[in-house]
Amino acid sequence: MAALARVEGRRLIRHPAIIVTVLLAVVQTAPFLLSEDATQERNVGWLLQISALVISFGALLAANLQALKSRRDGSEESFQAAPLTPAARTAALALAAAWVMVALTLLLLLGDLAIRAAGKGAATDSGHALFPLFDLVQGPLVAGLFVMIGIALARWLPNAFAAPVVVTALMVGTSVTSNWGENPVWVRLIPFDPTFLGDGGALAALHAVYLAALATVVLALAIMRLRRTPRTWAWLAGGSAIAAMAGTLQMVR
Amino acid sequence: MSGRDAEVSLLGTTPGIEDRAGRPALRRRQATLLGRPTARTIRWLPLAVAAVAAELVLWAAKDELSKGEAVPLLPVRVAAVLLCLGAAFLLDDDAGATIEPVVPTLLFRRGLRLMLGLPMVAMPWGAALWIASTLAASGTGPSAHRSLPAAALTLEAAALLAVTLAAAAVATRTQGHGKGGTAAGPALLAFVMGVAAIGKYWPMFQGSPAEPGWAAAHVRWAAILAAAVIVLIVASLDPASQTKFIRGDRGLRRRAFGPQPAGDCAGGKP
Repeated sequence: MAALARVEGRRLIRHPAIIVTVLLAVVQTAPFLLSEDATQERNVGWLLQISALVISFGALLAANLQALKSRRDGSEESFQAAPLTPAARTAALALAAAWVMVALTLLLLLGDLAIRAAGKGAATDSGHALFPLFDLVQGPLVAGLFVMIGIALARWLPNAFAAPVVVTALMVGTSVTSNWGENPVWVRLIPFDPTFLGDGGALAALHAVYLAALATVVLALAIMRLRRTPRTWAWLAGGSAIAAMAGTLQMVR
Repeated sequence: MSGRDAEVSLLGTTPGIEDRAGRPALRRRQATLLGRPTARTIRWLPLAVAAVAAELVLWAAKDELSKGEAVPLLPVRVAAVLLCLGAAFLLDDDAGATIEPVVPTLLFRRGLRLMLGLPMVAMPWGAALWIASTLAASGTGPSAHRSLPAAALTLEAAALLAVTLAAAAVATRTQGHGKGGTAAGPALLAFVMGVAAIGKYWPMFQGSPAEPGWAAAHVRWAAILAAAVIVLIVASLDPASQTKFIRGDRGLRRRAFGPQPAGDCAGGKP
């Protein structure tokens, strides 16, 4: 499974959907680097957060297309002769999300350094010279969650039409919640929490746990489409419980 | 003319085929004969789902559409994007490889496909505009600001649709039959995200006709529409055409229609 995850991971980060979104993120960020004063953008952290979100959308589409490839090529039956079960192949594809997450972390670090170099030491929303740990965690975790959503969609709705519609819905949802105005407490429950950068350590840690638990739930659901064992039920129950707990704690804090 | 005679005629064995003056009549007959089989191979389900989703978006946004000074255009634009996502699969033809050798050209077959499919996109779009304008008119703001810029929004939707179909046509040519929609959906979203990314410099999704860049933005939309239609037509020219322009990239053609041995069939058809 590890070997397959490596192959899938390499294919995932070289997928056109991810490459195009990385280019879009660069196109969006570059003007601020070239402008007279990069600090004109009120919060440079927000700029990178948007870039991470755009790349996460690309990751969802890429994972979905990759998970549907065997179906598209009509090679599903051939895979039945392979030693790995479909559930194990799904898990391997999910592990490939780590490549996207690592690549995104590196890109965010690079972007942060570039903005800082161009902005003559402008601080992020958190007031640090460089991104603190949690600012680098949210983007990659959202990307990982979106990869899982892409895979789960491919398993439950094996149609190339589903993922673009879901991405459109997520884009609209993000736009609406980001422009809500007063940032009510429930926005912490959406994966792309716009208050994350200003929330501080404990809330940010809770949100990171919440995202990881959501990803576990979505992966368990994807695998359960193919095989339902006590183990997958346990992953689903555990993930749901942790997500519910982390979500509640984010709301009450 | 009997069915057998019609088939013989369509294969070009009658003198009438050679006569260019008789071509429109021939095309009409081909369109009549190909209409039903073409309609059967169009993937209607994504279009139907997209149409329902588009109307649902407007229904969900009915409160926003009917209040405030200016009509929010985001729900209508989302409806347009959803319809385009459904239309991305219009060019997908699982029987594409089988009908490559038929006499009507790819451009003609694709034109016929679009002639059948586009009204099914136009109808839900018209319904979406009607719903949005009804909701907008029921608002409380000044009437001048409450009217929906239907023509401008239709131009934007047409440009998005043309971009989608152009991407589908290019993907079909490079990746093979039945794969256009798979590539066109993400391509449309990338286009929308790209347009949003450069919005600071070339704003394309203006909030209302009262904004200063509205006319300029729609000139740009018209240019995008024209460019996408040109790409769609070029990507729909028959690969078997003998013009140098089409044969320019033999690599593309080989990838689209599988490996071919040297000295393959006349006209490059498999």
